[in-house]
Amino acid sequence: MGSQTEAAENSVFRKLAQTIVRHRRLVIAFYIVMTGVFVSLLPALNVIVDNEKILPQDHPYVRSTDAIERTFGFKQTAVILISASEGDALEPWFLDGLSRATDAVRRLEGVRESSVLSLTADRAKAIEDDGSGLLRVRQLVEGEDGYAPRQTILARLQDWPVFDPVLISKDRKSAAIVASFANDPLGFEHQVAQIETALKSTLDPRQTFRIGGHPSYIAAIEGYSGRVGLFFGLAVILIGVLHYDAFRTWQGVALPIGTGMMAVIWVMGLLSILHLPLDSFNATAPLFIFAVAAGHSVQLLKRYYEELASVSIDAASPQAANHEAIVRSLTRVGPVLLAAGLVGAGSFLSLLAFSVETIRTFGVVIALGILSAVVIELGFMSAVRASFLPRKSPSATVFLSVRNRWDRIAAGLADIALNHRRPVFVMLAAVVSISIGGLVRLEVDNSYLRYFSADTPVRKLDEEIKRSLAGASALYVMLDTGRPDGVTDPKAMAALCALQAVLNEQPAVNKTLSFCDYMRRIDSVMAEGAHDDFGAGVPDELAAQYLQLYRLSGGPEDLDYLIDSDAQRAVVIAFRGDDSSALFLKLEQQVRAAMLSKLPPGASLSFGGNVAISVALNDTMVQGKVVNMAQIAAILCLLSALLFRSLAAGLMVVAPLSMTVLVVLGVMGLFQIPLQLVTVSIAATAVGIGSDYAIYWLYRFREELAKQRHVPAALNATFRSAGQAVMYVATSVTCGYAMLMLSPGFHIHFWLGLMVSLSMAIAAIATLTMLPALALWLRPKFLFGCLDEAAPPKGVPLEDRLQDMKVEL
Amino acid sequence: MSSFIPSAQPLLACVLLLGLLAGTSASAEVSPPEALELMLRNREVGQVQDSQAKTAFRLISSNGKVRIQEAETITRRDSKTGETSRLARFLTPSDVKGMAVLTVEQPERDDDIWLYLPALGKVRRLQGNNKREAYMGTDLSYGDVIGHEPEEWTHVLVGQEKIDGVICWIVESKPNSDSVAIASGYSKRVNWLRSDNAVMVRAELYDSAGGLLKRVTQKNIVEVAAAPERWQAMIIEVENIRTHHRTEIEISDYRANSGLAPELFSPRALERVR
Repeated sequence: MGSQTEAAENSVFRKLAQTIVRHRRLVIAFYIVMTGVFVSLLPALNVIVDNEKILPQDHPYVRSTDAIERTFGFKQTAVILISASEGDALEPWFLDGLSRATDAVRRLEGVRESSVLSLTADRAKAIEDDGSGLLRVRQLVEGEDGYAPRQTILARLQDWPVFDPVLISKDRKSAAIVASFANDPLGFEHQVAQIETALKSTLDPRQTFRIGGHPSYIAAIEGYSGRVGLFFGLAVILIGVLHYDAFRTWQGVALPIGTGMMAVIWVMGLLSILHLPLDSFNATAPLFIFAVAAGHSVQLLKRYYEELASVSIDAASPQAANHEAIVRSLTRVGPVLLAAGLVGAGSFLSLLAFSVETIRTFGVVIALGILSAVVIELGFMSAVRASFLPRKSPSATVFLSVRNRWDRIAAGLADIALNHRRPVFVMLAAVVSISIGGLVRLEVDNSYLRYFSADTPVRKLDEEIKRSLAGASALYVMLDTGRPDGVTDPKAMAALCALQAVLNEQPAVNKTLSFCDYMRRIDSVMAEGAHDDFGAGVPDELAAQYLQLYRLSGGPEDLDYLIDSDAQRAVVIAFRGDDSSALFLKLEQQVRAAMLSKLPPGASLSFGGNVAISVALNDTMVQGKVVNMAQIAAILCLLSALLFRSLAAGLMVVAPLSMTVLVVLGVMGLFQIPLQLVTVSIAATAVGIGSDYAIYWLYRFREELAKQRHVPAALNATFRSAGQAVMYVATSVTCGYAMLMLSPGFHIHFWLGLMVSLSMAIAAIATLTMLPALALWLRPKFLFGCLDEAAPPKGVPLEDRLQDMKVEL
Repeated sequence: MSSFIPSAQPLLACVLLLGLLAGTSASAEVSPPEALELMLRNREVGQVQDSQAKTAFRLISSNGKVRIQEAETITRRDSKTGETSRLARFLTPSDVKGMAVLTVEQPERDDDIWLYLPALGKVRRLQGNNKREAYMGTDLSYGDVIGHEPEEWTHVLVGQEKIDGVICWIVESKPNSDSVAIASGYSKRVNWLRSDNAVMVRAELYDSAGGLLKRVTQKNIVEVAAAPERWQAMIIEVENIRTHHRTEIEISDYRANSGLAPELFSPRALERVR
């Protein structure tokens, strides 16, 4: 950017600043009204609780899960553990309560009727053999007149243990209701509350219950997520304290926080106007906006105090000095504030090119947030500043005479850039190497259970379900033969039985249920188990006739949870004790490999259930966000290059951000933090969280070089102004967001605090070490061109220049 | 109401003693009969000595998928004991063709059931079902088919309603004892019985918790025998309100009282049916 353009910009910004100062009350009133309007729009904000709405519907796991849900009704499976406080789960009073509870659960909104299983459910039938080939299909706990005696039920379970320990615990003290739910538009907490209400009104006082499985995990995540408000509040307080430490004024505390808060409100209001939904993956956006807005605010505030210090010496009155400082700071920082804001917003707006809606929304949210922060900072905060006299000018204590610790750090950094570049590059190389070492260890895995620490009630319940039942996580593998009555074909039956056997061999699988279980049992009664594997030599119509036999004996829909009504598809239900998406993918790979030669022509396998949806979400988010990071970096580079009219500038702006992303991902790998839905969303903000640091630093360094025409002096001045502002905001936001790491039991908050803090710290450190080192090493023309145009200014004595070369620490 | 299906024992449901209704049918002004008497008549008009028919079962799942199976059915009522034997031989789908089920009602004990599986070439005995369980994989229970004994229920005439131009009595029936309730699986039955012949045209069946469980409709009611008159619905539709599963039964080629031999209803006969 040439000096003429700069002058024109400065002139525009000077006029703007003067207008704001002159009409400050009007400006304040305008912004307050605007903020009021946005607050009034907040209730209309469309918050998406159902994460699946953001999923691309053509994802293979979405399609397969939908197909399984349409055919068999399975999706979000809850395992309700009901325990007896006295006696056990086979006593009549217990079974009565269980029966009432099962009916109540079946009647709940969103429940898939065909998926509800319990000891007392109609379809939980035993296939009995009296030893002489007499077969009887009857409800598992049914007796001649009421419930069967305890020993009879135990004998039935032993004879045919297909529901053991799925519906009854190994110690017989508890029973389970397994039910699958459609997604509740009001969220999983609402869904779980509905289940709790139904159970409380139907169970016997001697029965206790706990709800496990996917819906309860997500409900717990929703519950724990509510804490973020508390920890965010603590973070804001800490940020305020650290800003006070830096500026020693209340304005230094209130204005950056105010800018951040207002920007978040504006964005939420704008989203309402634009009818854009806010989903849970964009829930971190306000934290990001707050941090970026505070960063811009601190830059302007820092410059304001510098200008205030310089004008107050000669000013006629404190008010005149204040107004002149505002005008000067806006004139100087306004252009870079606007430029940095436009570059950041433009980069994030480029995400509109994505096909995944949540990523498009993320781009719009962040872009609006950055622009809102710029507009608020330029107008409202300047008007507020003009309306109050600073009680105590910080000039005397901070900027002119006393060198405080921030100055010493600034001086130290300048010294490093001037005299110790090689160690900086060595350190950088070491950090890059270690980060790459971590990066290669980075695992892509999503487990909702692992969002919680082992001592939380959610994990404890899951452990108990694993100990007493087959597990709370259900995987569904569907065999589709492609034609009606295909499943009962001997080859398909053999494949189905083999599929179940393969699944049973997987270490992660505790128990499986399939149509094959029923066929084998009937065969054992009818033909002494002669056709156990349904392999070669089995009569073609045998399975079809066994199926007909069962249907004649049981209810019309008894087997519809395992085989569809026209016998085209069958499903194997595998109960697991883990909801890891990585383990799921491994299991799928192994099962597909094992089944490759066993499937009949035209048949296919599909995998579904909540873990499959979790994999689809993870795939979508991880792939999308990784591309999102690369795209933002590229656009940021391009816009920065245009801003400074230099490709080198673009690369230099992106360099610290690339380092930030690399270190964040490396640390995740080193500390075994998996890359998943939430962490990748946080990591994606790392690429933009410090983009303005580099732009401010480069702008100021170029300004100081043009003014002082002396590298050490310019470097020193840059570090003491823009550099210190970066330090203030990075320190406060890093420490503030680290408060989230104190959230007990909930790893998401820990990861959020760690990664946002780390991003801010690394972005700041990279900007203040790597960027100056690169600038002084490469001496790009967009920075150093001014030195070639003219001789050093005469005003700086040689002694002073030499003295500046040795910066005080 | 008593039974619904011809292949099941007292074939169809419902009838009235025509004598009582003679000359008064379709009249809203007729004095209402006693409810128990009406239910007894209903049972009687469905009872034939024997029958043979083709029956098509359309089983419609909650997601709209339809499974069709056809069977030849014969029944015979023992004139001494009053118990009925039923034999169903499947014609379609092709993979169950030849499968046959023989049910012989036994007084005071579980019914005898034999099954012939062509794929095994064997006849095997099955344990008799209780009345609550589904009949032939349909939405009707076994009790719906063999009929609920009118004497075991308390009946109240609760109103009348015109259905397809015919006045029908509405009879509400509740079990006399817990054991009847448990055995039938119903806490209440409401039947709409035609005033001209006491045949049931509509029924609502309530589960043990008092919720509506099934809705039954009978159509195309035909007089299948004279002196005494006997009636049979040729279309029976059942909807399970809870599961949204439906069964549609269509009866054709129906013949009553043609003198079927008792030998046709022996286990050995199952294999010959092939």
